[in-house]
Amino acid sequence: MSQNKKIPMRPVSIIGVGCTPFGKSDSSIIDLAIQSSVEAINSANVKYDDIQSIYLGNFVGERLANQGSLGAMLADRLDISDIPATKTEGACASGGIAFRHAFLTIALGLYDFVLATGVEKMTSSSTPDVTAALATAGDMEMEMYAGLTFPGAFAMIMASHMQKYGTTREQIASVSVKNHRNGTNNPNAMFQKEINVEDVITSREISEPIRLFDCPPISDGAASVLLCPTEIAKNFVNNPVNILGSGHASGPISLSGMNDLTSFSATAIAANEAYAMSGLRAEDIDVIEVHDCFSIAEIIALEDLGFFNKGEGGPATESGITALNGKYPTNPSGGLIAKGHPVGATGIAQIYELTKQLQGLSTNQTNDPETALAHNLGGIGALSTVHILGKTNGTK
Amino acid sequence: MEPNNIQAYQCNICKKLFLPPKTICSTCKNTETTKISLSGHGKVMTSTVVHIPPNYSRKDPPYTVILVKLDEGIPVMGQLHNSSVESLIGTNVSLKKINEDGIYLFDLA
Ligand SMILES: [Zn+2]
Repeated sequence: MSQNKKIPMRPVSIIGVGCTPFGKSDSSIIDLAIQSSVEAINSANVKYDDIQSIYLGNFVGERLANQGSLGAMLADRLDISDIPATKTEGACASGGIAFRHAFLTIALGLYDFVLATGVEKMTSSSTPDVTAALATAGDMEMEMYAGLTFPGAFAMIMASHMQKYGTTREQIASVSVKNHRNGTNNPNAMFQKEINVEDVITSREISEPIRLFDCPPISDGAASVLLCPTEIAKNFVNNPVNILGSGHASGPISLSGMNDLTSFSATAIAANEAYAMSGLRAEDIDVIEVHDCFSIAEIIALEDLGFFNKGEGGPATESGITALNGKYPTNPSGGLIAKGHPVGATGIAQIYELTKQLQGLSTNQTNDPETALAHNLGGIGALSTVHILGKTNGTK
Repeated sequence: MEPNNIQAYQCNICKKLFLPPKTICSTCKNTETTKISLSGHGKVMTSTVVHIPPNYSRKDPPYTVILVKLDEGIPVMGQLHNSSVESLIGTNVSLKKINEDGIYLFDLA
């Protein structure tokens, strides 16, 4: 496995977070990245010159925003251009990878202060162009050129889950209903309006059985976090959040490579790594952000992460277990479906929400959580990152 | 000229089949493979009816994309030739032709 247990790792904390509103923005891709970065740096009370490295998560900036070199560009615009700045790409999990590398470089003693930012600018492009750009997360030659889209791939997975486990259309729609309800309390969310099951299953056909309200909106946005060693975190803020576990794994890039069309192996492997590092199990987690790139993806994520047995995610969601006041409150931010999915920003926006939750400062606060889990998925299960966070002075 | 049947690659030592071609056999790490033709018969593993097509597709929507497990055990992505049927999982299909874009077009068997 990727974690070498012989290398001592020091505890790492989150001392600053920032997030732009998600939606249609007039700002350029770099201005979005600057906006969330400045918010994270200022809230951490560190000086710009203290930052030693930047990781920037982005998927399709060259293609849709016509801008490369985003890592160095962000360092330059923040006027800290001497430091290394690395762009990470892992489709929709680009942000999760940036966060993990920021964590690892501090944990392994290389740096003390690292900024991780995720950004995407998508609304200036046409829907066919965005659809084509997102499809590159799959295997173009072997699968996507058969006329398949990214929603189409997840529609095939949804049909498989319904067939194999009897998961109903209504159960899957209830993910979207819950996340839209959560989005009404998130001022940064693109959608802040409640919808019902009927709205979802009668919305516009995208790729059957996936309908419009099973999908996240095309959006612009950025999110940032600033990390430092736990031993000095309280010198900067009184409520740092600790990173208890981190996992990252690859899986098959294509549907034809999957052993089971209802499960993403990368999620389960990354989760096992993060659980082992933290010493926690699924039942110890108080609040969750998962990668609901489609409503069915939330159900599969919760099953792959061990919160429910395979096939039980649909009924569990319908019964309210994942609602804000349920046993496993999931996507209090509204998730990708209501908040928006500026692809490269998503993995770090999840950390933003969970940090606020553990600090008791979320606009959609769950009941005094002490532990949290973030799950970011790239492509059609091509990769996943999982992170487990803990409240300072938590008893767990 | 495109062949009119699905071509796969077979490891010369352990006879494992690959599609897409791999440079190394995942079983025995051998790098020698031979191109072989497949029957084109199989069963639908899953399907979707695409209503919003990508800009790299020349087909008018709606159309049906199917993942087919061929009798030889290999999954391939293709389209249903001349209909947009839902709930195809488990249905038998056979290759009708490979179109000018290299897409495998199947008929209900
Ligand atoms: Zn072999």
